[in-house]
Amino acid sequence: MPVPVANTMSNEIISGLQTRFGSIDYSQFQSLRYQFYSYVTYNTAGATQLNFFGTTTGSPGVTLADTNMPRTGSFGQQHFFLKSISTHIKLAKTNDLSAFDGTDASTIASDFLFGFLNAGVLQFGIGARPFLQVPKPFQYLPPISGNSLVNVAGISALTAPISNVLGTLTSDTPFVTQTVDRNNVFRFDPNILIEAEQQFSCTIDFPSGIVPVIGTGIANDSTNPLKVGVILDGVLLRPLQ
Amino acid sequence: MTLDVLDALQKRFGSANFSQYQIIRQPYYDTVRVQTAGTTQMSFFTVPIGGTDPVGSNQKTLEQTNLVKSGSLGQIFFVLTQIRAYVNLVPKNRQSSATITGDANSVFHGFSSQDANYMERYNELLNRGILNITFAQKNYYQISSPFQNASPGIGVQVHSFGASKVAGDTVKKSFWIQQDNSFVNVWNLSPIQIIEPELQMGVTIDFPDGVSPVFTNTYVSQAAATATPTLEAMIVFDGYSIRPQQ
Repeated sequence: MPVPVANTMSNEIISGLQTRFGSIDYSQFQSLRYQFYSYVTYNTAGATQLNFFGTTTGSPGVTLADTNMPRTGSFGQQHFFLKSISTHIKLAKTNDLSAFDGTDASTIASDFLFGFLNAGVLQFGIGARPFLQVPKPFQYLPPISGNSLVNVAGISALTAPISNVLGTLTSDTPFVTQTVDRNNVFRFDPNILIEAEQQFSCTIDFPSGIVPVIGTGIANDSTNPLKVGVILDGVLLRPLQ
Repeated sequence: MTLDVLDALQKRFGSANFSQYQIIRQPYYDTVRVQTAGTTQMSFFTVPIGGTDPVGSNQKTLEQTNLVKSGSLGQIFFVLTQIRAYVNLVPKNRQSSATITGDANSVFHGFSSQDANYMERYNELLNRGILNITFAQKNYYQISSPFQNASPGIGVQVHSFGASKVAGDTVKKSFWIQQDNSFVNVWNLSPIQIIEPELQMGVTIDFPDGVSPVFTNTYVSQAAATATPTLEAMIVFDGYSIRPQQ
């Protein structure tokens, strides 16, 4: 049936076509718990700014291990009901605990106790408006997930049969993580709805000066980079298909 | 230039909509360097961003404070729900002593071995002080041992700590002290407290029983060189900022 010229671009016609032949039903939405994450390399030399959610999967050198963002700085054609924000630190490959020799550089624990975790400020904005500023974000915004737990060995051997003689003690490997208590998660209360295509930004800045990595015997920029991430947790609202 | 005219102009051309407000969770925080020679008072929320810290002479950035006006939170309503007091070392490369920044085993010897007494003084600092908070000259809160009673609820999880054992050195007793990192132990306010726009605040940690712990030369390197560490203290007002829509 020919379409009247006057109505060619009307919303009614588009809506009618979409209802009959569209691949998505915009009148019904489904909701599901979802996390959007973005990891970047914390260079051993340090940086003045770390920029998160600025790349998408499939960009050069970016895989699903780095981010699951569908668009740069937005969630695309879906709404996101933001409930919490957290940070996470991980080594890309191995945390060689046996490398510890008593020096700061021989363990990544040095950075947790005396390095970049004691610095920085996270800024989160929607549109051009700031929505959050948090100091020391790797401490203030701990992971929502669990974390590795270490059970240190006690005495590995005693010189028998003499009592009270210590043979070998193997309890001197440091291991430090971010706080692992789920209660510590930073909740947005009230929650924030980030609408479809709404641009947002998330950075961790070091305006008082860069903070280099201390544990350079473990982390390096080429084979075992230190990865830091920001995780947005909430409810994804997307149209039914 | 009556109020009606201003109101009409604001509604048509204004950058904010004062008839609708938005509530967001936003901590307000201020950090000062700790006087390592000891002090009778630490003063917070007096030097805004861009100003100079009177103790460390460092320019304050957003890392140290998000205060834009001395003594007030500016043109917002703030719902204060939590008070947190934090004190710790600044990162290694920001330490003022070259002995510390250049030391290869500062964490597992300089601060933590039995040679040094930094951790003892730090533990003393956590035990002491009175946090006094006033709004418009009127006292609202007095919290003793604020670094414990109003613990920061942030930090790291030390699963195990290493002993000093570099070549040629005997293994030393070593320990690392930190503040309580559990969220549930921060100072929760019930009832909550509203801080109105431009309300003048006074926030100090006082040491009426003598000066605060002295950190001078409490750092001892493996080569027995002593140094004075650089620490910073921070007060966080966590809660909700109520601001006009834009």
